[in-house]
Amino acid sequence: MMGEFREHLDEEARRVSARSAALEDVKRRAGRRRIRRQVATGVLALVIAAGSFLLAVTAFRGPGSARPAVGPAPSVSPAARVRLLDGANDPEAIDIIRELINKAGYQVLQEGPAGHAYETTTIACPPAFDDEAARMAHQLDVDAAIVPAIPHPDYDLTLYVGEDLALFEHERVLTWIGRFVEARRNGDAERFLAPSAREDYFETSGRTEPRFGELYLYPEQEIVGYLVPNWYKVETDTWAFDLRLVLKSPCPSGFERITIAAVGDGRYELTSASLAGAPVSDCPAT
Amino acid sequence: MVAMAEPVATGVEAPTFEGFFHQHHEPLLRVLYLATGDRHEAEDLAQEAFVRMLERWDRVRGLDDPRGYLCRTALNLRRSRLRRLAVAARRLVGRPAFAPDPAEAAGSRDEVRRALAALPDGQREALVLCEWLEMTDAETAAVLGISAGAVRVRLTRARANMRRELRGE
Repeated sequence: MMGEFREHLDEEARRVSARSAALEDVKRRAGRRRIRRQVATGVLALVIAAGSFLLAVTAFRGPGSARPAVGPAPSVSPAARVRLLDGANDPEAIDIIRELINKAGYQVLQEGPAGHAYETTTIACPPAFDDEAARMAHQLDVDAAIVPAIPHPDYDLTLYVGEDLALFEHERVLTWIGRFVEARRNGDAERFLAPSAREDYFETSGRTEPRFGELYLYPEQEIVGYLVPNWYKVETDTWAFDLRLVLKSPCPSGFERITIAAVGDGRYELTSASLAGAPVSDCPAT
Repeated sequence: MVAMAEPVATGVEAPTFEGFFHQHHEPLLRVLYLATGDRHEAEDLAQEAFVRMLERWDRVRGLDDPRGYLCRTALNLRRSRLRRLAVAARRLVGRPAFAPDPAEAAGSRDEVRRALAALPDGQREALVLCEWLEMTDAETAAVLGISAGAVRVRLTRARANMRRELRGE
């Protein structure tokens, strides 16, 4: 029946009401954000300008002084040493970015807060590392600004994490995984599967139950949570994840590897899945 | 009148942000309160959602359903916060996130709060949007990013759970 609980909800909702100054509060908050971004952009521009100036001064020093340091040549392993500065203030995103960087063959040597929130991700590096910077931007799937910087003995690239990198694709993908796990918990996950994945998923189960939501899980194996300890970028729009399903005690938790692909309009589909570690089906049925 | 007003008809004059705000702020605040059980969080989420609307107002004002966009933004913000907290703390996310204010829950009308708190997030959101905000299945599906069929499933389960909690069925 439509509106069955309408009165109950209405009564509950009336406990809160809008304050008269709410609109002014919104405008003030928007103004503060705008100013913060403008300041951050200005500071970054100043830092870059100062770096360029120092580079020029160093390059034109007299013959008696020491030769300017030449940036270290890209090596096979690691491809470059990275200083990772968090301008987005998002621990979850930084964890993921660090992992992506490491998996791409870079080494995160330094890490810390950038001090400002950057709207656009920026990679500062000496010219010798421009190619690596472009590769890193591609790996992170972000349209990063690559700006010149003087060579530094401790690192090759500085990655200023901007809001575009921290809160866009990664967030949507993790949201999708959360929904997938929740739907699976409710036995309603089939709609998340790409048509090509359905048979695969059934085949890997080794079980005979007909429905997706019951493939690995008996009732006593209820999913109570999940973690995503690893993820890998497979192609531009495809990612693989080690998905650790946390089961209700005393069932052992286990890993699966799932691969999802973007299918447009911000939607994703699970395209394949396999067991990546101890199978979640180890818990004996009672 | 509790439902958020329908979008302003097109072809008249372009809606101002102030007009949109006055039309939709309180209903959104109440939706978020019902969804979170915390009035302070609801206020903060509503404010942040409107800040994002203001920043994108030139584009948002031309949407077919800016109200849906507003709801989607606010509920996505809430999910993002929950997820960040969960991941940062390496805590499990399966537990209900609905946390009624203990002082308020002690009142005489806390049956509804308890019943709402017992619902999974997805069911609670579907119930609030469909029943209280009187959104259609399709509108709710667009806001929650799921299919209309999934909305109906959630709604059916939410109502059954509410009945059980409120009436002891």
